[in-house]
Amino acid sequence: MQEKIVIENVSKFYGRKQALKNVNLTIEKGMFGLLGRNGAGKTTLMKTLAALHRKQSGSIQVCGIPIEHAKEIRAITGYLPQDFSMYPSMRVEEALDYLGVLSEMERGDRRQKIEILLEKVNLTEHRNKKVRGLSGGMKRRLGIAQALLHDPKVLIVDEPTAGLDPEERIRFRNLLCEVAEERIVLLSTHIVGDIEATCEDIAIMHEGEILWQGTVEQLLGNADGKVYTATVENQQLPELKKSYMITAMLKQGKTTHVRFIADGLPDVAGASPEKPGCEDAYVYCLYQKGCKVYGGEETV
Amino acid sequence: MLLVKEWKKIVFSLMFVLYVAVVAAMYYTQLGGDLLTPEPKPTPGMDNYGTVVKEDAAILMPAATEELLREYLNGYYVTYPFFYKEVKPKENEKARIAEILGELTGLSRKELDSFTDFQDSRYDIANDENGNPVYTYREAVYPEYEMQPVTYEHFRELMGEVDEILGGNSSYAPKTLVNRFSRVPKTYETALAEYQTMMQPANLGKAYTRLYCDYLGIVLAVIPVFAAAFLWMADRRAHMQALVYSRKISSVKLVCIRYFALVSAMMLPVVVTFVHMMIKVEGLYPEQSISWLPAVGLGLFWLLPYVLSVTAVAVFLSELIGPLFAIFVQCIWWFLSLEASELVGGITRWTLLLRHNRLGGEDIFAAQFANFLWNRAFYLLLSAACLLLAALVFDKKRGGAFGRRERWSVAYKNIFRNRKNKSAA
Repeated sequence: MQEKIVIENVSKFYGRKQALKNVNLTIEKGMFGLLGRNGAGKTTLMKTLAALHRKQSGSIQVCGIPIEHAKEIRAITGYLPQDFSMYPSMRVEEALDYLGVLSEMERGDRRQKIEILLEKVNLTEHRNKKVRGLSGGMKRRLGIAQALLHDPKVLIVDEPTAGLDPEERIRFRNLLCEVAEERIVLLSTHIVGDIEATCEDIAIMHEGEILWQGTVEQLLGNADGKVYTATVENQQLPELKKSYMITAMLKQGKTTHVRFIADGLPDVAGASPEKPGCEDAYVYCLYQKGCKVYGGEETV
Repeated sequence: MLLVKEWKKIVFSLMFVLYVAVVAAMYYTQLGGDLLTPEPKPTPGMDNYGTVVKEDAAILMPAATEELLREYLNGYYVTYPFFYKEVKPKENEKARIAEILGELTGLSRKELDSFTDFQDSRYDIANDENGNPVYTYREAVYPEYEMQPVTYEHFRELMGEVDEILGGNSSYAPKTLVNRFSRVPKTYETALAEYQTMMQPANLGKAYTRLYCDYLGIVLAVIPVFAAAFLWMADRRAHMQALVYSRKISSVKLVCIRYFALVSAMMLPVVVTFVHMMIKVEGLYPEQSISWLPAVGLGLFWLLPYVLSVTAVAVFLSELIGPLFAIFVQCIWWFLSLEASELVGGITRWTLLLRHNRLGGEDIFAAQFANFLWNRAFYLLLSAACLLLAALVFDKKRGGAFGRRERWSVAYKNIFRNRKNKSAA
């Protein structure tokens, strides 16, 4: 069986609004990050790949299986939705067992897998806790456990770290990296840090289109020599915001330390070039492709 | 395995507890406590053995004429187009009814309209020396008249015309005329024969079962919709539709298992109360042997189609449009069905609600047994059809069809954008 997802010219409409515009992507085994703003079409693409949405045109093959064969796709796909939730009155173990039954797993297999997964996601101690009593982080870990329960070849996780505290986020990212050794993991997020920490291959989506596809290194390479920092007077800031994309700023009394992107040599006194981070590279990519880029929110 | 898990989800829910409470309350208030009594054996010389329907023109024509005269003098006519309605005819219609009354009684319209001493039948209430109310029945006071010689066929035509003028479903409608106006007192022999028929081992249990089904049917024809719509939408409430949709299980299998879990859970209090009633019936007739099998068969064939069809319709409409719509439709259906049903002897092929509000009446029920079989079979088929449609809708939704929320959201955004554009212009 091929271990890749091949997406060719896929389009999808919600009424007159085109949510996916001729999407072409090839996703190989390992972690693949899908980066984009809220509303870029990431969730639509994820749901389409999980056979939960219909595409209007194009073709998708998941490990060699056409997406139209929904039952076969569901058998090899694990899905963690953006707003993961379970029956609140069910206990953790009971919830996993219920979803295992819906995946048509045998009783013995279910028991064995639940044991392993609870251990893996560090929920063994909480197995008898009701879902309503779990913290946000625990819920997400339960989410990943349920998605892995039937040992899928493809794991689709949609915005899994949104709302988690930094420690839980790191824990979750590490967990994803572990499970990606044996399967395709497709991670969708608008948090650049998640992609930077976990994925080698990424794609950037914007308004239903794949804007860019490559490795994280290539993305950083594109922005090389375009990122600068400078300390400017506060009254200079409005002018600076008009001329450059500001990716970070820190107010220090009457002056502000800014980090910004400039295509050429910037006309800012004391500006010094910096190594681009993933966030800078992402913003530069959007700018380069002609997308409207917002920036300059103050950080005190 | 899934059936057991679904069943557990249902029976430990608050909605199911409420469902059980309603069924239990209906049973207790109508058949519980001391309300279930043994049928007294008719003895010679009793004042009243009840009445029996017998088509007899000599009884029917004067009784129907008197009722028409009473309603004419009252100025309104009662009809039942699914509910109680007082009809006040237009002047030309009133004139035609007066003509018909003239043909039957010999009274002219002038005589009818100038009769000012009319008093409808009523109960006068007075208090005795202890302050307890005493009711005295007063007969209606009519103008004096004599029935005119008309044939029975012509009389029926005239009654049919009155019914048409009143918009149908009046006391004069051909389907109710005999039942309403042609009743004769039962003789001791008839009453005894009926009693003996009821007391046969195969019939005694069935007699109480019919009464049980009559009462329980009233709630079972509507409350499963609340439980079904609420429980069916559990995935949506828990925001886990996508999670369920993404599993391997087939749509037909999942929908059918969930449906059968709902139906079997909802039949549970019915079975318990039924068994309780039958044990009580055994106690009422200690000397009498009672066959349970015919009673259980009748009860199941009567009540199961209620739960099956109401649940299937609820599941289908909840899946297609939403639980509130399912509840709304079912409540209207139940109300219309309740209004259209007759307490005894009105079993039709299509009405959801089947009534037999009487202990005994084996002959009346037997006369309508073909309609009963047809009716229940129809609702069984309707259940199967709705279940399949529900599975189809579920499968389509699972694959991304019926994306109502997305469609509404886009439509809303478009409207909002258009308004903003207009106001900007």
